[in-house]
Amino acid sequence: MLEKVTFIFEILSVVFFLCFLKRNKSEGLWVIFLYCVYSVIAELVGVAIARTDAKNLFYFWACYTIAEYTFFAYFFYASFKNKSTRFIPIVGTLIFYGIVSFTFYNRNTQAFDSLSASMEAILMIIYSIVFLYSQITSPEIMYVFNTKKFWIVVATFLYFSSTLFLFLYAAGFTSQEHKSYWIINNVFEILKNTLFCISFAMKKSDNHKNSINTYNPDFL
Amino acid sequence: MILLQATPGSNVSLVLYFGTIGMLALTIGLIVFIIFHQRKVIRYQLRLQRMEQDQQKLLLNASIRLQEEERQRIAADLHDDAGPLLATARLYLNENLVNLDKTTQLQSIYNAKQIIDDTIQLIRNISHSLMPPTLKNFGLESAVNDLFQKISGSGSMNASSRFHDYRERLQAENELIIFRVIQELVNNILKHSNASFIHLTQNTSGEKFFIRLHHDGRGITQNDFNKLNKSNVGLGLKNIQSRLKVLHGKIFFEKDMSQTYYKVTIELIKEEEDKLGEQE
Repeated sequence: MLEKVTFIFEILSVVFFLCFLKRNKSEGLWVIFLYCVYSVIAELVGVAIARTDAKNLFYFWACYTIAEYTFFAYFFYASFKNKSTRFIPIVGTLIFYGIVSFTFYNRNTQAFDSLSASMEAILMIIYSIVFLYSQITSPEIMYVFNTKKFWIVVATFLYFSSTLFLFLYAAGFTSQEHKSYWIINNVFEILKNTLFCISFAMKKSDNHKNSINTYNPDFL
Repeated sequence: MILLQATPGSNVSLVLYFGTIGMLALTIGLIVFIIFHQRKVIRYQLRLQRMEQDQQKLLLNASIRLQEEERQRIAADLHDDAGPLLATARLYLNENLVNLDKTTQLQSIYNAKQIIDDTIQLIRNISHSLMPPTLKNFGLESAVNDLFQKISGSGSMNASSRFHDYRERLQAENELIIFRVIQELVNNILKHSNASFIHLTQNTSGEKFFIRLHHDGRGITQNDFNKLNKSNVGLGLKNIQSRLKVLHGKIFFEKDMSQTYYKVTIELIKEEEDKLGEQE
């Protein structure tokens, strides 16, 4: 039941983006939309693979993790305005791809790529913290919570920090354990998609209007 | 990560749940902290904005009041001095029409001429006080030297000035602004300080242009200046501040290292001055 609700929320985020397309144009959220579409497709493909070709489930999840990481890493890279912070996702990506390559060549019988997923979660938490820090220190942004990207990052931050421990242990789960613990992932996936929907539905922020930089002392 | 994965199975659920709850709590805490911190920063910035607005308002009011006072002074000069003089000259000339006696006529024409000369001198004085001709024709250095010679000549105070590096004149409008600031400062020293000497020096250092005034009377420090600027008194100081704002200049009031003299430093950036000139 919860899996179905999770899937509905995944579709809902795609629908919300398309419904509020005008509001999301030129906001740098296309990559998140592509990620949402990819998630919906991956969910369908994942179910099919699990039924027919369970042996290759490891590779499927590993590929999903790579794609998911790539979408988010690009989103963060594009969102970092400061040159000094832009190198963080670049370095992170090199480390991540290195780890993924390592797990690909050294796979065992496990069905879930725990190391890559956990690494992805840690990197996403780091990017989110850097993003939020750069937002609160930027004089151009008066109300950080008025921006669409803020809610996207909050969703990412919440999702990856809540599922970090789950991903750490996921490789060693029995099917029964997987069933009972995967609820955590589903709940936070719903929360993530809800926050995505909020972000997509939000009106375009006009932070520059309220910026301290644009404040005119000669208004008198 | 590997260590955590190696934890025995019985503890997995405990670590998993506590870990997840802990991470979630940390994340929520961080987000809440960011939101509250930002609200605090916004409030602080708004307070700063409001303070700056108030300061602008005070400066604007001061400059308007000063302008009005200047107008009133010119009006009073014209009305009280030039008006009666011209009326008297008119009377003498009128007498000329009535009285046909030649010697009386000559006498009244001579009197009228004298009065008209006085009026011309009076109007010249008013005009000079509005825009000193020395400043216009020969620049800031000559105008300041002239002003200080006049003060010294009065015998009440020893005043001297020295320009060390003023080969290139500033823009005429800016020279006038600086001259007015110096006038205001000197005026304040004459009125309030009880000093026995004033010494002015001009210097440049890189792109910076300095004018420094020393005197041995009672003076004010930067703290006093800031306090007076925020209050409703100290009209002259506000006027100085608003004039320097036009030039993006700064003014510092301090006591000399020896604690004997008071020092006022006006600091301008030459580049700013050039930019302002280009804009004009």
